[in-house]
Amino acid sequence: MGLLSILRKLKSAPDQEVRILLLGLDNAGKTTLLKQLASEDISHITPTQGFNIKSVQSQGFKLNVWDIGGQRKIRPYWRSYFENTDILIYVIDSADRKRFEETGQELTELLEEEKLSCVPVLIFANKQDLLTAAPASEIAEGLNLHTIRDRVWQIQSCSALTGEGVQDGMNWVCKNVNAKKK
Amino acid sequence: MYTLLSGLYKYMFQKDEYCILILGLDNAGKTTFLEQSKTRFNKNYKGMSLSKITTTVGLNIGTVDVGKARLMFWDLGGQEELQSLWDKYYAECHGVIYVIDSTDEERLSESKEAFEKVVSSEALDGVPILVLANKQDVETCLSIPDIKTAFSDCTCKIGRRDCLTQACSALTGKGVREGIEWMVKCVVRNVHRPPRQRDIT
Repeated sequence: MGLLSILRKLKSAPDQEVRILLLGLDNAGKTTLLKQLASEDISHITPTQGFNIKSVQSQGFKLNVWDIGGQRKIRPYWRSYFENTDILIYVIDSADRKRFEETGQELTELLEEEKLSCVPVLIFANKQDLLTAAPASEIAEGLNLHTIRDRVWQIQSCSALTGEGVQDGMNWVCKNVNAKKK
Repeated sequence: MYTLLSGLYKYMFQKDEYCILILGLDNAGKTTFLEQSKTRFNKNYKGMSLSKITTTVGLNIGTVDVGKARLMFWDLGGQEELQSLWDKYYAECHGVIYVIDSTDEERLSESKEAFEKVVSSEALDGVPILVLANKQDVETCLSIPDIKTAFSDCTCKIGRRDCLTQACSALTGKGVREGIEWMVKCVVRNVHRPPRQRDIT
């Protein structure tokens, strides 16, 4: 009987797998963020030519994080990865004000994709360790995030380099894993 | 016959949709209120643990069906630097729920100032406002009369609209159902802001 209850426990608590898409312009810090999540060495990061995938455990979830390269010529391939996405994480270089318009445009186009409809989106306002970084609230306004009506969204200040803010963002992810369905 | 049946079907199942903003300072309990509402009104809803709610710096959404009305909640971040986003939702909303932390006497005047800006906005003319004095489960909290006194400056700005101050505890659920049922009555009878109509898909 003890064995049966143990087996029942094991069976009833499999890790829920979550598919997370990690997108943003080139040099926003996506791969640094991914490695920070996976507790890997971040001292040698080069531009991503294809994609990186890592599985991360957090609060009982198995997060499968897909980090797709953000260079302009690669962006058309983003679409190939949209299917079955549970959470979209969009990374912004908060210090690169010249490209705020470009990154806002890319995000807007993403949110119009039917396959990403109603998918919760977490925006990481990255590189907050830099003095020139814009605060999250300014970015939220500049990117017109207030036009989002059909899904939950959150903007989180972070520094992928130092790790600050990253766990807070992932806590939000775990809380909103099922937000897409309701 | 087909037309009759499809018309009947639509009549039976269509819901009038009303958008409700949940506003208030950070840490007042807006998202906890939203979670409690979803739990109370949606039988199948498996909410997140209330103890795990973190600071909203963005938007939480929720849907609640009450009779023939469907309330779409937009729960916005309440930090001071985020309040500039609030008015971008005013034109589309049918009701406002303003949440106050009854245990935070120090910030009561700050909350009143934010509330004053909300009720002063022309984009919210005539829109019903439910004021929730939250965290009433805490023994040392301010009473409704205390809060009404602190907010008395704003009464002349409320103007021609339905307004109710309701004691509540989003944590325990006390006052949540009553508040929402009041809001439903108000938005339904407000002819100046007709509902969005959408068939159930």
